[in-house]
Amino acid sequence: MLTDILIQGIVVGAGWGLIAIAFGLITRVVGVFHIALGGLYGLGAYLYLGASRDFGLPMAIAWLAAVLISAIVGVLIDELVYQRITGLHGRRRQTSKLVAEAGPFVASLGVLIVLDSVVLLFYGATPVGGHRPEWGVLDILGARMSVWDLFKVAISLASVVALAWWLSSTKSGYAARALGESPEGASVVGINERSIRRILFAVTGAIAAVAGVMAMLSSPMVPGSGINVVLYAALMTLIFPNARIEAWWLASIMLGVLYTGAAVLYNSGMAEIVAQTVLLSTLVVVRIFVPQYQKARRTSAASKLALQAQKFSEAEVAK
Amino acid sequence: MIEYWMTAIAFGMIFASLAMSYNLSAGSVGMLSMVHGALFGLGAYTYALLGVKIGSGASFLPLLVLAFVIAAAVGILISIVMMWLPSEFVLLVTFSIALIFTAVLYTATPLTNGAAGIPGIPIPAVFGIEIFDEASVLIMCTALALFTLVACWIIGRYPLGMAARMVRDDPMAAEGLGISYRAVSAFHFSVAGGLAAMAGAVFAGTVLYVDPHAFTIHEAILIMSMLAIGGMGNVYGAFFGGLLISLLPEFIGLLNFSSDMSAGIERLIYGVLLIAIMLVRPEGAFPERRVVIAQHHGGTK
Repeated sequence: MLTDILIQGIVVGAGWGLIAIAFGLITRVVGVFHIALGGLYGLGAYLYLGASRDFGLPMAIAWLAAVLISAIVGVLIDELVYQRITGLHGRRRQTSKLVAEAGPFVASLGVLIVLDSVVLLFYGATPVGGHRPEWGVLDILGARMSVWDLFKVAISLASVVALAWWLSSTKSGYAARALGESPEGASVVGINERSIRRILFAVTGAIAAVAGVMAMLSSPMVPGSGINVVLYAALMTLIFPNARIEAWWLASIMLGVLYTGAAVLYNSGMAEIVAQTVLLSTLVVVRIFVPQYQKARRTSAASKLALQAQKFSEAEVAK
Repeated sequence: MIEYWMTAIAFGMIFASLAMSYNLSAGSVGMLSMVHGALFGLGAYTYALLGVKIGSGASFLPLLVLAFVIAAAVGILISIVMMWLPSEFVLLVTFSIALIFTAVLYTATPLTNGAAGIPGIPIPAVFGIEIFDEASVLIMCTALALFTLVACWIIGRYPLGMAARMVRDDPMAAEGLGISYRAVSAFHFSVAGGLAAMAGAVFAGTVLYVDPHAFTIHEAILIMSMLAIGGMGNVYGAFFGGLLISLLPEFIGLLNFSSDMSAGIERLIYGVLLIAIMLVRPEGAFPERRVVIAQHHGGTK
């Protein structure tokens, strides 16, 4: 039973981990609580359903279509809403401090509501689910794990590894980190904020859709179910705001195991209470009693880029 | 037909009260939270559980006061936790508290009867008069809205309200002037919670049945939308936002769509309204009136 809980917990946590890294990246780089990711999670899932059930597309094509459309919607949310509210796109409106602080969050809630309502209009409130692929079952330490569940964990892990590589080894990943640490510094070294944001919102929109489709194929879903998942992600990234994205993913896995354990032992309502309470108490304890935990562990990507720019200009002068 | 609209306006008054009470914490003192819907639910369940236990609507007014006291006490506890956290965390932490509250309502079946809810809530009686027909319900809900409006207006107009606005706009300067940030915030948050609970008790006394569906996180989002659309910091804006958003489903209902379709259109409209207001008029339809001290030739007016 313990192995079953562990395996199912890892599978559940792998889905949440994707949303956690997407939410955490946006919060860290752009500084917006992108609650609308919950809407993209639902949108991706229902787009998949529409493409596979209504248009009869094969699973891989339907999944790809859902991911691509969600990525485009993600970019549009930033271009049409966040950038205009934060003043990146044109002149920022003069508002009070309260409205300036709350504006992006409230707008993000608005986007979440719009995305959920579009899904509700097309598919209604009745729970629906896609056809779960029957790829066989594996025996792991006496517990049964379907190949589909293994595939989900593998997809999630591959996404984390790819994102970690992008952040640590590519120029645009460096630029994203620099933007998160110091937008002014990033601007000085010539980083185009808008293009980095486009990449980021496209990637996170796509990730949300991947997670949504995985959830849809595992159990029936109703419009608006993304909000709980994005809240788990948000709390996890707030507990470890300066952690590496792999740490967010691992924390999600641990939460998934805890949630599954509580659900198996009690029920899903109790699992919700246990998971939220553990997250909340950890957040409060970490923030109140362990301030040194918050010290930044990340390397200063902005200063690295500035150093690179300086070396480059020196080399040019030497030539 | 007139009875239908009287009931709709009565519900509008309850939600307008809720939006005005939310304005007291979010608009006046800047404590944006997502827990207001849960405090509304706490008030509703307080009246429902105790009303059913007592078995008489005569206890309505004392239970209204009790709901206020319980929610105010809970509000103080939450505000203490909120003050320890950075402001950007507060929204998400209270989001989580609201989800826990709903999950508890669903799970604590021996106490709350779970998803089945609590039927048979006694009809409220005030000074021996039973409130059961549409007209008396409308009067009760309007009285609640007026009470909340006057309470918020009085708190906002006197030094405590001014201290709250100072804490919201410049906490450092407020502390420098000897204004206790914690005391002012806790007071506003607890009174706002208490007023929300009163609205909840009146809601339970109106529908005579409560279940957890009415107090989910979507209600918290709805309350925030009401305030954002009406205008943060302005009690009249909150009243307008509450009334407008709560009457929206009634107007959509006139179009005879299916229930899912109506729910979808309703959410779509207020989602779009929320985005549009943040883009076009972020201070809301009725922005807070600010006191401007203009300097003229070295003097002040």
